[in-house]
Amino acid sequence: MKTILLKIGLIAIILCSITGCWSKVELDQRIFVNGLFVDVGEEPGTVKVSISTPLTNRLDSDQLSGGGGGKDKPYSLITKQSTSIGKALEYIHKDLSRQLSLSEIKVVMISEQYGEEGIGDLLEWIKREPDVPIGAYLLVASGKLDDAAHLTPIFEQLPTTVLLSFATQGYMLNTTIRDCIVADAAGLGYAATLLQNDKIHSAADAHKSETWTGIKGAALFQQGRLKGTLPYEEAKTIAWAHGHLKFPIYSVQWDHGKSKADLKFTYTNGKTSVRMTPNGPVFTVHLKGRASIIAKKDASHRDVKDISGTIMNQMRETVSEDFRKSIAYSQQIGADVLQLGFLLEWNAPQYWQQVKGKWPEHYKKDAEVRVVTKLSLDDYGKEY
Amino acid sequence: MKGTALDILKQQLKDSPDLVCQPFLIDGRTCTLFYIPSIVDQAMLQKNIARFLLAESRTGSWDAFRRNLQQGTAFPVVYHAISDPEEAPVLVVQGKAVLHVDQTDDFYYFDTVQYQKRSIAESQNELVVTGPQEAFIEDIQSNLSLLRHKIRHPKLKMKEYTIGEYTNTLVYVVYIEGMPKNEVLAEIDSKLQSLSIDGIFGIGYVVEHFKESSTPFPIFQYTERPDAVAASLLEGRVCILMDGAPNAVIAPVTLFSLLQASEDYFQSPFAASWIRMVRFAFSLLSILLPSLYVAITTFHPQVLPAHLLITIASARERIPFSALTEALLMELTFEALREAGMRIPKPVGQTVSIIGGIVIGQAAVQAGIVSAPMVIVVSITGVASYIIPHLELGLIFRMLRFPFLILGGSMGLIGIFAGTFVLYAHLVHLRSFGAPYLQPVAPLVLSDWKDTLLRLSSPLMNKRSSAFSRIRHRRR
Repeated sequence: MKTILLKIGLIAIILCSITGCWSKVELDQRIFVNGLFVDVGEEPGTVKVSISTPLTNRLDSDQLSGGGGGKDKPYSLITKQSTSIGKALEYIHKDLSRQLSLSEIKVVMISEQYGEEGIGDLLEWIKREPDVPIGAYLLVASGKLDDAAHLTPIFEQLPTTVLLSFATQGYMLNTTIRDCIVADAAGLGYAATLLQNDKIHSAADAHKSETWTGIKGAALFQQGRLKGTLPYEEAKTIAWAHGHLKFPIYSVQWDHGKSKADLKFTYTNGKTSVRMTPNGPVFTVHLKGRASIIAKKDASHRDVKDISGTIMNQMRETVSEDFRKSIAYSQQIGADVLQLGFLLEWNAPQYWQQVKGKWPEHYKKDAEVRVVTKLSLDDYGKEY
Repeated sequence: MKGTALDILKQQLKDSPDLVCQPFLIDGRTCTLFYIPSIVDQAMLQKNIARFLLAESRTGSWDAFRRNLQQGTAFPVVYHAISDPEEAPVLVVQGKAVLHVDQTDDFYYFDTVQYQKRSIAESQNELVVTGPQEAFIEDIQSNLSLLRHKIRHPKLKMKEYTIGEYTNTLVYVVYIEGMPKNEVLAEIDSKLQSLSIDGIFGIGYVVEHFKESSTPFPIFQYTERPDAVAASLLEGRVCILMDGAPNAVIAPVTLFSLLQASEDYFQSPFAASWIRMVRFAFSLLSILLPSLYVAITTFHPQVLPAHLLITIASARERIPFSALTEALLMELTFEALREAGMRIPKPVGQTVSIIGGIVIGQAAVQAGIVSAPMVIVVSITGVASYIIPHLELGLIFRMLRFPFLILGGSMGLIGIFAGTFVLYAHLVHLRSFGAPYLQPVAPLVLSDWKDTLLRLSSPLMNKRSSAFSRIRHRRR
């Protein structure tokens, strides 16, 4: 009996030393932040931080099960300005009745202007703040960040769910904060999905307009600064090279524009490789894909089998051209968005040591990037 | 002297109005037959004993009768002389017919026992779809008959004990000669020999005296199925049967043997393995699910997927209790309903279960007393606890849920992990008659894994578990 009591006492002491009672917060005492929006402040040197949170007290069971009948919006957006992100969050927190929980942040969205001024402060804050997950996706808003943050979630309950889908559905890039931190530490660039805002008529009330947000292209970063943007079609090839692109649709034309076809890619993959030559490294980007023809209009009414070679040649040409344009632009602004530097570090470490310090300049002027497309047709559509 | 022996018998059995003293006058001398009609086979008594005594009383000579009686040829059934006259009253109350011979101190007894018993019924608590359906009953002879029907081999051995100062209950230890470990047999034998107790009315009375270590975990396996006992005997285990108990207990056991069901061996290895894995997973859930739910929602909500978290958080709005209190309330209500459901008379049982279902279900959620996810968690846990085939182990698992709840609710996942380590250490340390309780996990015995998480086909299970048997060679 004495031994048992001794054991229980020992266990109790050990457990007491590791107890976490002080961090116990009930779910109904928390506010879950699932979207963080960062913009430049109205005063110079300030930052405007907004948080998007679901209002669990307004999400009743009917809404959760898809009813969506509540009149009040089940989410809120709270904005404060201060000299730093942490300070702005403190101002938000002090006015709230519940405890902020940053661990649920899924999307970090910045304005184009904030990106151009540099997102170093943001990345540094995320690196230091243990609660913020570094797996959160980075998105860039081309217009006003407020508008993008206030988008109307037509098909979803929460605006952040819509924003999250831009990153996860594979229509563009899925860059995370982790990718940004890693790339910044290595002195490389990265690309993030660029969004644009629009106004549409409300389905409920035709006289009211609602904010619609959609994918515009890609924002290219180097050393924590937004250096430039790519339009949608060119940005797609960057996502393709990263292996993120799903089901892209391309249109091709021939016979001087009289004939055209649409192809939907059911499989895409991208791979990069490097080969050292006496003149320096030569990078090759392999874009692979399998497509189906979903529309065809041939001026000479030829059978699709007879013109499939032409279509595929045009397809290769289009994809290669888009890719060349996007790479040329990234080289022009000195943003290694395909992170080719990592290839060098792995395959030619000695050479990498030489060029590491001046890589953006080296990438801009000396890097030779080639593209190899390996595209094939899966089928000719339902016709066959 | 003769009067004294008879006096002892009459004195000890006075105030027993159901006692029958039937005198027979043979050649001028009186022989008296003592028996209690309610516990003897009266047909057999009349046919094989009373009829012959009556015949002797009409025509017989006393000397010839005495001579035949002493030679064991006076009756067409087996009878025995009683060496100590003081045993006579005990034998009468045990259902024997005792014959006293006039002017001597000779007593003879006849094995005429026939207690009231029910017929062999289907197993109620260990149901199987395929496989034998019969179960033990309260009559030991019927139970032994069921067992002998399964194992028809001379090496099936039984050792008889009479336990209980007042109940004089028959207890049998059954085993297959040469298979069980000697220390298991020796321990059971010494314990039963030294058992001093007023009476036993269930096999649990016997089992409790074996529990020396302070563990809540069962070191015996209860079963009501003769086929389960027979299979265990062939594994080298020992079985204890008791007169008046419709169950047998099997020893030694391991935690994994208690998680096996008879049905496992009547289904295909694939189906049995799948069911077994489901059972193991839900057994674990039955201990840990409520505590994990409380720990995660109050300490580590970040581990939940976003949508699930929002769903749970919105359900917890307006709930006046903390998650821990909510869980404890629900679990206690469930335990009360379960107990009430078992004890309540059948005609009102349905009402209670309906009211109970409403209380812990819809009404509690609508009233905002408990959240819907908590009802789901408690329901899953409730169902999970009944997936454990062994009732006593299921009870312990249900009991352990509460300390784990408090650990999870006060210290989060760290508390649960710490509790799990303590539980694991206890189980590793625990032994059932020398068999490691966690074998084949600790100690690791790879050959026993064929019948642990998975149930391989019989030809592949070519070794007995070293936890039970001292003969490990191929099963024939």
